[in-house]
Amino acid sequence: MLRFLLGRLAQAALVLGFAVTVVFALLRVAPGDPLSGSTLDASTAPATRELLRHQYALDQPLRTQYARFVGHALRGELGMSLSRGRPVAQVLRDVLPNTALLMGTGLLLGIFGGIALGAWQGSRGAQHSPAPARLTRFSEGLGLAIIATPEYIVATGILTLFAATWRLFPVGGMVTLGVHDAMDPGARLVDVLWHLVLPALTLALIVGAGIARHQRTEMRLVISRPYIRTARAKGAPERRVLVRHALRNALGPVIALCGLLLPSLVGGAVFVEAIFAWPGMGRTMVDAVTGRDYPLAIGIVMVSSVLVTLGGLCADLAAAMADPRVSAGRR
Amino acid sequence: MRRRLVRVFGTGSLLALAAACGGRDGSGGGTAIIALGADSKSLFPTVAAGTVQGRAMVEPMFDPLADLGPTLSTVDVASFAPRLAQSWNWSSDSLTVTFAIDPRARWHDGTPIRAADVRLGYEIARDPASGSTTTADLAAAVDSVRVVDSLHVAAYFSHRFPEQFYQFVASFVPLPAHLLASIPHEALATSAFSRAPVGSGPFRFVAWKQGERFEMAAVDAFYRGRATLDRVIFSVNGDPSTLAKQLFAGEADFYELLPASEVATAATKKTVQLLRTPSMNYAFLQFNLHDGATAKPHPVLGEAGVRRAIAMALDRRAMLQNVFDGAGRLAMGPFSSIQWSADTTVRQPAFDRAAAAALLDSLGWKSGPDGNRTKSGRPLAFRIIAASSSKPRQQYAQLIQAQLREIGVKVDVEVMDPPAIGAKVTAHEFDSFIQNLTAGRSPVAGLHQTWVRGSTGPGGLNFGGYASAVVDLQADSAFSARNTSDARRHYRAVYQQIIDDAPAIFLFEQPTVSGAHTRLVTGALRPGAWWKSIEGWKIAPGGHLPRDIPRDAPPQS
Repeated sequence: MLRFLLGRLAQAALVLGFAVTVVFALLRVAPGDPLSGSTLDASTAPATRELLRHQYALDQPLRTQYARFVGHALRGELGMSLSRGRPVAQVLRDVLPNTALLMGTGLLLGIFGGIALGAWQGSRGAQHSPAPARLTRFSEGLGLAIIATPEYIVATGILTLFAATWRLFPVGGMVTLGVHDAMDPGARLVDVLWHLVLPALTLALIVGAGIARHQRTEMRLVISRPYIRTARAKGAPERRVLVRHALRNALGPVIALCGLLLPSLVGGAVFVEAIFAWPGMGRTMVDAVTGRDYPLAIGIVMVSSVLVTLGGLCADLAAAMADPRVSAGRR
Repeated sequence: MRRRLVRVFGTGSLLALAAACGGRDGSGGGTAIIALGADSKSLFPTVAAGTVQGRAMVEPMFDPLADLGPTLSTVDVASFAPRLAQSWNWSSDSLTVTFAIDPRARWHDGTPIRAADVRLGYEIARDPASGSTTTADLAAAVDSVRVVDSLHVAAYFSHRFPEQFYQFVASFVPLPAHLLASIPHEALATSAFSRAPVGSGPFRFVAWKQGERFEMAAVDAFYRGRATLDRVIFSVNGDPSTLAKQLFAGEADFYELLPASEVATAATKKTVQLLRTPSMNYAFLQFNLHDGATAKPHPVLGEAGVRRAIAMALDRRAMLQNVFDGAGRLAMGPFSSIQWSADTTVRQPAFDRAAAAALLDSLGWKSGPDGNRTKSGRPLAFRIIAASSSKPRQQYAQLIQAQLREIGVKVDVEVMDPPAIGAKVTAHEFDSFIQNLTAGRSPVAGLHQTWVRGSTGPGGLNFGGYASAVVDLQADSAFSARNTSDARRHYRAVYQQIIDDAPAIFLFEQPTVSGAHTRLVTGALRPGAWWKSIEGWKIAPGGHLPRDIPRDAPPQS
């Protein structure tokens, strides 16, 4: 297991280096730099612009900028954010917990909800299942529609219906402005959770719809296997057959898929945070890229790459726990 | 959930408390939540001045020496409103003005404001190392600033011109010497002060979570009288549609810039009032007169006759109606119509497509069988760049494309994000682009940076390389005129020459449409600076909400 872990960590370091280099190159290749937008703005004095360019080493050749960046990154320094005027590490320290809360909630809801729904849909194919066919078809159709709809539209639709039209939840932000700071700790937590509902639900739908579809297919595959027939023939209760015998064996591929879903979750968080005004990493990334804030964009990519790699690692470990054959095969 | 929150906040008695507390005379108070599209990079005044959002956040915390009066005239010194300076006196040669500091004025930490603070503010704004956006304006107008005594400070001008007083008082704010004098200017923008400033204005800093929210509170013992609101909270989010929804749902009280796509919806909401103010911006199609970065003329647009024909072929009023549905204003020249030098009687290119076609014929650009014009095998074609961030500019590009097709001119439209456009135009790698320029209150900076000969260099906005001896001469005369009527005459000559030479086609002035909740009483907003009247904003009777309950919080960042 230790060897496996070390191998995966080395792999993660390679992925991280590659991702950061690609983003570094892409941002530099894109026309313009952090200050070129201000060339259209009469209020920024040319001398100030040139001074800033020099301060941030934007007047250096690309090679020098990259070497400088790698040197600083190896020392754990991510540089100064050009758009926020403070160290990137500080910006990340502010926004990372917010994203972790949103993504963690969305991921948990999406994974467990998706698995439960997929298992239910898959079990509907079994001849002993009592689930009504119309409801199953509806849930499958809805899931497919969510998968086919761009995340931006899903998020906007949910915001428009539940917040703007029915006023059941707040439109945006993470707290109730003007009131939150005066609340007691318990009420503050409730306030944050109240604001979390819609963005987390959106992420959960985006993640859960894909998982449910795969879980359904796996479940149907497993249910058709001879050992399920044997379990039923031996008189095991249907719930036990479905949960202990079928679902456990159908979980392995889905858990592996959860790891693969992480990058799309990170991508989804960008839209969700922007639309729900959630002050997290995704929204900050949008600002950083559009403003050509190189250090901040690269800092976020580094953190995202680490998260995705760790997520993959966790998924591997979970798959091994769910199905001992996975780890046995690895050995 | 709502019930739970109401329990948390209390009941109607708290609302009554909110309504009763705060304000100058006990009738005001309350909290206004302002939706902003972007955050400031810093709260240090010289840096924050670089963006509208930064100014909105910082200017209520810092008083200048004097501010524009109700007429908003930048040349009528008598109309200026005293702020930190309670009065000022001119020397007989009009080259020195001495300000008397209001002895009641205090920094928010209680320290009295003195003449040394004024000099420090000036010195910091004059130094580009501080990130100042007004260095050039001050350098062009002011020789030095001298402390006369603790409550008197004198500014020495290098020459006389109509806007010299405005140029001085609008280019910097006094800064607390007891806190900043020992900090190198280049470190100010990232200092602790830049994240939790100690100001001199009607509102004091309370808290800032960058990218999320910023809060300021009324100063109780403010020397000019307490602001009516207790608190102002800025809610920062980049998505315009979400910001508009926050306003419609009552989560925000004011949205500074409603996108055009949301204005119609806002008009149907009973709780939203639309506040329209004239624009300080003017948009135009700027031509590159040179072939790339070379000194050679552009093969198509380098010819003044072609540019004039294009100007004549465009129905600018129809485009204005099409894009803004009656809400926009026709740009009449290189100025905003609310600048004091604006002259909307300047002669405009007449819309006459037949005459435009005839002019192109006479210049040798003949129509081919496909309807497109060519001359010596070269097609009469060019590309327009429009910003991805602006829907109106994209629409204008498409309308220009369609209208010019009528006279055989082929136009390609390219939509790019602003940094990419900045890189292209700085390298002169463009044919034309739609530029939206903030004119500012004074016409001086805009003309200097965009239309006179010197503005073709680094840092200038004359990306098209336009140069005219007449414009340069008349602009110099306008800048140094002793009185406003002379200055107006020279400005008119400048504007007319630019319109006749057609280095650009002036398209529109887009009015600013802000949205406010009906519970918020803002009064008239100042064009280009809606926050200037914020100390007088109040909550309408009966409009109080739980968030209006006053509270005291220590400053934090």
